Amino acid sequence: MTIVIVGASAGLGRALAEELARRGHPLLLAARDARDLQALAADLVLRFAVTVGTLAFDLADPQADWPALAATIARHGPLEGLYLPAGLSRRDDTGDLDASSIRTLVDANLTGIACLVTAVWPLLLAAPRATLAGFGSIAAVRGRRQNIVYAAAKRGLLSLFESLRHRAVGSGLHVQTFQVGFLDTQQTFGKRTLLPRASPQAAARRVAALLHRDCGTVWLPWSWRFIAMLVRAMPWLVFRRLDF
Amino acid sequence: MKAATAAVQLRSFDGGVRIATRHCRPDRLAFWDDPDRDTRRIARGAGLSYAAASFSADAISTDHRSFDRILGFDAAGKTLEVEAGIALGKVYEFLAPRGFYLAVQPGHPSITIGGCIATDVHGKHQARDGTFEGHVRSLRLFHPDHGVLELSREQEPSLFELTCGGYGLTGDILSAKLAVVQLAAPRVLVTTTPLPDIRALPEALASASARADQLYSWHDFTARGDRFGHGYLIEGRWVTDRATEVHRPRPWHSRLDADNRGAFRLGCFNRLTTRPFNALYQRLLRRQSAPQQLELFDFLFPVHDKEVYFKLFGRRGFHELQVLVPVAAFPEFLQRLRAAIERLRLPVTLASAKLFRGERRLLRFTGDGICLAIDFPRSRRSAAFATAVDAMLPGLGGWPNLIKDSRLPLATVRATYPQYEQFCERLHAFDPRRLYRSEMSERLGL
Repeated sequence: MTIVIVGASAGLGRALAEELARRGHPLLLAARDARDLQALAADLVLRFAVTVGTLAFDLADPQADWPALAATIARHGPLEGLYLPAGLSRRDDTGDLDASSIRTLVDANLTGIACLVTAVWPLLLAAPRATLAGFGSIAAVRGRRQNIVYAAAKRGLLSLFESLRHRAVGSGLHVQTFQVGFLDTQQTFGKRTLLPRASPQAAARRVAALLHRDCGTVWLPWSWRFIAMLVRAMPWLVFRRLDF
Repeated sequence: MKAATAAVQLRSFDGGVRIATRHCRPDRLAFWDDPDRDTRRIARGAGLSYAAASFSADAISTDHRSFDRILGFDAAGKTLEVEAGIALGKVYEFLAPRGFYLAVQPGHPSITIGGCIATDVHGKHQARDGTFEGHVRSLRLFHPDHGVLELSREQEPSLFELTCGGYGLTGDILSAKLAVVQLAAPRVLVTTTPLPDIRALPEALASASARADQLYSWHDFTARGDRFGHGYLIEGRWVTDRATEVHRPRPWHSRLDADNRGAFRLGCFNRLTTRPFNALYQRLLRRQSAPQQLELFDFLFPVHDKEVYFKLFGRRGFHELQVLVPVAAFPEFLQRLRAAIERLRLPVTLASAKLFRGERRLLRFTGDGICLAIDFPRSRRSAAFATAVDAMLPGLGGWPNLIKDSRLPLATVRATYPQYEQFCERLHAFDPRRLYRSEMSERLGL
């Protein structure tokens, strides 16, 4: 039974790969650059003696052959889980991106994930029990003047995973949504953040502990649930003055 | 792929240098595909070097710690391939349960393999095991003008030699293939023997060298009269009757870095407190006079659970002078050192010695003699003392460790390293634009 992690080369995805390997799960790691995957796979095989495969593809590739990709995944054995901590953000996503950049952001954060999940869905349902996990962002809680397209795509992803959870009712598949606060990754490196950044390793431990649990939506770290509530409840007269 | 950069204040671990600069922390290998060819840069690992070797005001520091994967392990060939940002502690966690370890390791588990290569560190028995360079089979080096190069004693031997102990100035070390050693046992039997007279140290080290698997000494430089420098010889030997025990390293965690080392605003060491501190530590050593078994991790990384020691120096920091003095000149050096300590009433918090053997090459800290390290708090007097030690070394044929002293002046290095010019010439021949720079390289004219 294999667990697929898309976006495994760095950040939360890499931490999750390490945590699941530590727990003895065979893995199939996917990301854009095969070199990162091969280095990580070598490390996990040596340290945890688990089977680790790699698959390089780009979620934002408009020419991607999703059924063929699903067939490749199927060749790695029955699917126990599909984790999608992949994402793409840009520091200049402040409202002036060209059409091609906007499409790439939406494809990487939403369209590609929707296409992949659709193609892999039968494999997930075929397993006696399986987990599908999507990863949202604190940025999508309330639209701001930064991360404009990224936040919109992540908001769409939340809707997608709500629907998928509903669709999976009655099957052995648990659809989980992780809402991610500030993690100490490349995405936040060098940025001034209002609140401290959590370690991706701690977040990964929580995600891995919830494998095969019907947990719905979970905040990482958990305290960000209340921060999100606060941001949502903030009156416009206050929110409009904030620069974050 | 570009990595985000951030403005940051970086400090040398001893607190002597603090510089506003920029750093980045790439986490994907594509970072090396498209370098900014004109940016001055320097690699950074754990940032635990006493000298400012991983940052400079006009160079971007590249934090390698995301590149910390184990790439290959050959138990039969006794080799381990790792990315350069991997910490010694992680290597230990991997190797020890498989019955291997790295023969040469400095005292803190957060130190990275890249740092070990770049500064050519020594371990607990230099006279037998040599320095880290001797255990590097090959390495991959990145330089924007040369791309990624494979270096070893057979392939590009001159650049390999320049890079091992080259203080990161030839480029970014990406990965390395290292020789590993079969672990005789996961535990070390530590014997602590009193050494009442420091003048007997060279003989004591030489006679223990053959029988010990790890060997160093501790001395009290705050004691007065004939007791000055008295101390203990600390010998480690494998506990061979536990050879079949499978070692399961316990998890370790360290938050020690150059920033939180200076977490306390004020230091605790001065002329009043240092004598009782040494007396207390001595009492601890005396209690250990009966041989005791230590886990190898605790013996290899004695600093990891004594991090507070460094914090007790406060924000202002401390000096560590580590010098190598030929055995014949050691008594004279000791006499002059003692005179300077007593004249300046210097509170020496730590004095420790090891036996060294080896051939001097370029700017590496190796050679034949007694290696003595002393710590003392940073103050007006301490600078005068360090300058006095600088003046002693050339006449006695001794030399300092460049990586242990953030204020070491160029004149001292020129006077004590015969191959200084050769190092500079070879470095400039490989990198005429001198893209890789640190505060240390600029201070030392490299």
